[in-house]
Amino acid sequence: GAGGGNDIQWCFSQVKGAVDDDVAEADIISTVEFNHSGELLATGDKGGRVVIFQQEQENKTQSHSRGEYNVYSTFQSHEPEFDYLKSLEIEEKINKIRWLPQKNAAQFLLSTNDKTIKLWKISERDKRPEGYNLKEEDGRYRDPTTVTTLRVPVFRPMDLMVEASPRRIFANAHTYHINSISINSDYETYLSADDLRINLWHLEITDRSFNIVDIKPANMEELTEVITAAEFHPNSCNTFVYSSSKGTIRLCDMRASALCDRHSKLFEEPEDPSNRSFFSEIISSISDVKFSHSGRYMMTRDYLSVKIWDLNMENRPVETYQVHEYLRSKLCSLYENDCIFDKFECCWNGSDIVMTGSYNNFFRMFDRNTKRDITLEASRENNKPRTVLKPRKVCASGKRKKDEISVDSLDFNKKILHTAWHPKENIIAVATTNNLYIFQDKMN
Amino acid sequence: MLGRGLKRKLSDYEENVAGLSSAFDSSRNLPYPLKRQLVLNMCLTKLQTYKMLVEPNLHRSVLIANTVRQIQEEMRQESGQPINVCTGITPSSPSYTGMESSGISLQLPSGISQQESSCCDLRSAEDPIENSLLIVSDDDMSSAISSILKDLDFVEDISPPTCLVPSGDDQPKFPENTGLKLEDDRQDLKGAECVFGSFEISNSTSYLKDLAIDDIFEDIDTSMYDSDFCCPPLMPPRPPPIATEEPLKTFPSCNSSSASNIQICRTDLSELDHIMEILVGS
Repeated sequence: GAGGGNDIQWCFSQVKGAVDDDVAEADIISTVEFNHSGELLATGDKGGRVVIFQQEQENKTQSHSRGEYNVYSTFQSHEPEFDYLKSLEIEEKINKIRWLPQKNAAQFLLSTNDKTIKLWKISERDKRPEGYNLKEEDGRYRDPTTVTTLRVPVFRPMDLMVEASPRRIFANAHTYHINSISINSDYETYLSADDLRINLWHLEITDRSFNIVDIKPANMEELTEVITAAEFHPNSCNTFVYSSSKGTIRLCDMRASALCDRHSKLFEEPEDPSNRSFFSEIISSISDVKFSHSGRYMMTRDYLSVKIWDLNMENRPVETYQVHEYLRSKLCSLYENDCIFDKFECCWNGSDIVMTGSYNNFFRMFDRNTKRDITLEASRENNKPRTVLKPRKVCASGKRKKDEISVDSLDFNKKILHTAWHPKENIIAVATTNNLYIFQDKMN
Repeated sequence: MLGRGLKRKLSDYEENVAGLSSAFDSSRNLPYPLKRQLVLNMCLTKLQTYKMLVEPNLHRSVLIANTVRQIQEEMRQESGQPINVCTGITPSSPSYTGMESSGISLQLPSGISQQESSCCDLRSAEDPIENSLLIVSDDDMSSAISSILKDLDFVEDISPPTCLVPSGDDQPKFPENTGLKLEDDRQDLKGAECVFGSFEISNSTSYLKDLAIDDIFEDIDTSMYDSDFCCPPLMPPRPPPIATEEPLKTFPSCNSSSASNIQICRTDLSELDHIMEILVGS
């Protein structure tokens, strides 16, 4: 982390994806996630595909950089579906990917679209059996009368093949659109959350799930709040949180009752009256919630800020960081063009530094210890490896200094919604619309 | 202020609204009621647009509906009574979406005092901003909110999706709560009582066998199903209807609306059966 009082210096490492400015809709990246060791990096896209990158083993001679990420596996996780009863198309877009911790040679991940969660097994094959008696090498059966001797088939090396196969399909449990999945620390169960309900699954059982939260009112006209994100506590397997469109977070204990409609804790910050506007509620809607690695804190992202909450204090966050406060005076325009509904995610580095995206392909980091923050840009213009990224600055008003960008020049089509931090090292993955950038800290 | 690189072409209407939004953001002199009216109109326009979608976004609809409610409440408090200054604009008029800046002028009934019309603070009819704003009544707002939310309920929560997904090792199981006839014996219903009997929102056996369902769901709008064209699912069939004695496999997360679905399906059951038979060729 940012230990020793030295700020991290970020350098461009790699960029994946088409160079084209014309973005194919299916290539829009919709989720990014490192696995538990950081060796694998998965992305999901709007076309329902999952691409997994693997970090090269560190090259001892190249001590100045860590291993590069190269494509390890690509597979079609979800296909578009048509619900004939309702005449609705179900999008194949991958909303979330979550990795299971590795237990054996194979890797497992959960991927979900709006309605269906799938457990995928990714396994390597680098040997194949050769020398069957009854089969030719291509699989055709030999005429038994031509067999004159017997031999024992042996394994011979082959080019590495990485196979992905769906091991479980968890379907038909969500009426509304799934926005989150989270694997429990028991590694046996996981939750899936849609706009109004949260279900608990066992990884081995696909034909049933428990409903543990249901906020659907009897009369839909009374609906004023939806669930926006949910996550299990990293250590406490009976505890989870879910955030809402009203800016609240509820912590629930599954031991208290089967249906966790009554929260154990409610985290909510009273509104600042000086900032009140017509759009106050919309911008308070939480788009992401993430526990720190220790589980002591959680972070929430709403439209303009990132808040850090101490689980022991419900009435206000312990820290608030402004991501792009200069947008507060532009809310009506952002409402008109729907940007105000953009759902930015956020991520932790341990418990010290948090990162989140913004517009114009900018992303921000906040160091909780030094209280310093930085704005960086994911752009192909900065793509010389080992060159330190230049901090960016947005000029909110008044005279624009050199190298600053004025608010009105920001490109609101270039949004960074998804970012991920390597669990152990200072390597980050930042997704622009259809490109994946990998940055790492400068090693000396 | 829409930023560089915005690729869509703006129609006249959209350009006008964009201009209004910019005015809202940049102008300090815009009177509050006017700002409020602008926001309100934008909200109602969005809700109207969402209604036309096959599947409106629930999250956004709720946020926008709340904003309308908030404005509505504010306007109510200001006037001290439900506002009804709608002028020549009926709730059913398409004027929510037809906001051409040049075409609409504000008319007030002569009897309305300045105080009552505080929600629509007019200066001159020639003011282009005001000319493009509509006055909406309290009722209009409420009905806009209700209708989008009701639509969402109906569209979304009829039944779980019917999609068959190929599984690896596991045969996917389907919830039993639609009442369509089972054609294929391959569907292996685990008649097991659920081990986890503690969940509260569930299709418990007695609930579904209780034939007093009709009473509960009288007010559900089934107008969508009144059309002649009833599209049967072409996917593999569902487990048997509730008339059987088999213990039902519970599927807790898929909710009480399953009962409403049964009611709907019952009325079309024979028709669907007939169609299914033709399709399956049995």
